[in-house]
Amino acid sequence: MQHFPKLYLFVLWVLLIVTLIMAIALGAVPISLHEMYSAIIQTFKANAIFNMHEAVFIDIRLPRVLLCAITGGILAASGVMMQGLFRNPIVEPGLIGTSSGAAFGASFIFVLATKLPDWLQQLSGIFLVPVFAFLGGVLATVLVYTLAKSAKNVSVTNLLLIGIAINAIALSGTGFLSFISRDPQARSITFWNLGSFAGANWLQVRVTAIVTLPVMLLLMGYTNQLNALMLGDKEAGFLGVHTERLKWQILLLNTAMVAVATAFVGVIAFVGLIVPHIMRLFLGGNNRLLLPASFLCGAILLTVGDIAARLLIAPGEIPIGIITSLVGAPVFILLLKKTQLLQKGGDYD
Amino acid sequence: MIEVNNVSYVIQKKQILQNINLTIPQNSFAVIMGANGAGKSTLLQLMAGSFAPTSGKIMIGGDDVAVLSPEKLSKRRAVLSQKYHLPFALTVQEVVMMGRYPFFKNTPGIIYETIVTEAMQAMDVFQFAQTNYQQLSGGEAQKVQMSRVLAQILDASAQQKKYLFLDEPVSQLDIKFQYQLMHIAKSLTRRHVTVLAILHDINLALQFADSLHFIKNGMLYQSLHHPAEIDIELIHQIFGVPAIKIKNSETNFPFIYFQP
Repeated sequence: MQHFPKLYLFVLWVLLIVTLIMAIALGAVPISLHEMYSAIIQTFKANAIFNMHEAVFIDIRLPRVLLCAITGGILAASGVMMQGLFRNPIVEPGLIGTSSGAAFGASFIFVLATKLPDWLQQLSGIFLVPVFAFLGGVLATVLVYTLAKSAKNVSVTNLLLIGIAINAIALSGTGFLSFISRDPQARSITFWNLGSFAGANWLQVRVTAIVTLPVMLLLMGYTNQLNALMLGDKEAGFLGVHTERLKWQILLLNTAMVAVATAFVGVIAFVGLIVPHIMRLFLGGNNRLLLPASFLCGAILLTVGDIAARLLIAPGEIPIGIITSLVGAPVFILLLKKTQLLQKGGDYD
Repeated sequence: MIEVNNVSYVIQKKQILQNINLTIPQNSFAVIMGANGAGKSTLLQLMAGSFAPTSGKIMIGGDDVAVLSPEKLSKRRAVLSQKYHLPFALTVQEVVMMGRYPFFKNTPGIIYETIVTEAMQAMDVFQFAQTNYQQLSGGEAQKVQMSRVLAQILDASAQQKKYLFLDEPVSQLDIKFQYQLMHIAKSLTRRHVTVLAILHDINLALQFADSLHFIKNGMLYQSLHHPAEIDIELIHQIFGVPAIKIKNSETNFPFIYFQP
């Protein structure tokens, strides 16, 4: 369908950079290109002195925008992988338990961290939250997957229904934790369940990037096998794919990425659903191109969403999860309508 | 050569196949026939290595299928299943290229592009190369899938013999392409490929097969290594329909005329 895959990726890169610059420039404190430039030059000097605008840029705006872009990329890429794995375009981390499981794992640490031994508490902020988010995410995803799996196949109806059930369990767990917690903890859970980049800092950017880069490189190596999986499990096996092994590897890598992002910014729904769908319309379904393209597109769209989150009710801020859900849910309904028609023609096995 | 030694297959306490013994000579075209539910597809799946038999052994090119890894098997044999449903849009070329996936890691080399083109031309689908697979008709899609399995085995050689398993490959094809596919399958046997197909059309089978194997109720009823010698009593036993055999002096294969 696409004759110039590299051109598409190039266009997406350019769009991403333009979006990032816009996202940095816009806000309560506007930042000019010149200030961005001089601040970046300053950081390479031994004892950098920033004026107010430059400080806002380096310490607040830039980490926020970067974390937002990486998170958007993660969620979209995760959508591509999950949809490929389940052979269905209506799957995303929010629907099959990954996000809510990660949210539960993270709130667990928010509330119970003070009960932990001192040496563990020291680590709690930056390491324990992602680790528990990962454990929660894996647990929920694996539960949904194994429960939805009947004798030989994973039906999508099962998957979504069990996803609802596991999401409900994880949400009530999170709700219970916020109920027994003290007020500031509860507030952070609530706010965080809606997703927000307000607290972004450099450490979070670094941890997220360090996890994302190798995971994305590994996932790129699976794209051909994921294509083969489109033919069906058995048929992919005929092409030399260890299907069960592939599923577990992708599930774990994917959850690692989503859990880290979720641990820092909270639950952001529907990005993983909409972005791959849009990209497929332009580029077709070949995962080799779809995966990197969706990562870039996810980064662009979530950054735009965050601009909206900051500007719509300025100086206040809307949690970004509200915006993505508002835009994403209708798209999800449309997709459901479409795939039901599609399912009558052929069965997913 | 494919050797099936005393193979049985039981699933959920149901005996699907029982003590099957058959040998398919190297570089020949074998056809399996039988009524619905006789166990033909299961036998083909077992030979292709998609699951292991409950007991018995299947050797393909001198190696036990159960021991070969999926990667090694995929370099040695290709399988055409009955039905495919692609959940996402891919071009025909991208689908056919999957046949070469066992042989490269990231991007295909020029040689592979050539093989893929050859495979598409063989089934007359080259004009669809950039078309979305999902928009094809059932017959066109079947041709594309045949091209894909061809791409997987077209580079067979005396050093690297290959095997092709076809599960009802002509079910959705018009007459012209039924014959085209059979001709291609037959010609592959001269290119170091051993072909095994499940067919329902006895006359198509008689015209092309080097050996015919009849399955009934999970057992091998009879193997014919000279298909032309088929007798109508056998046909009645297998298909439950009376038939007459018409010999034709112009062809070296008989014609079976069913009289239900």
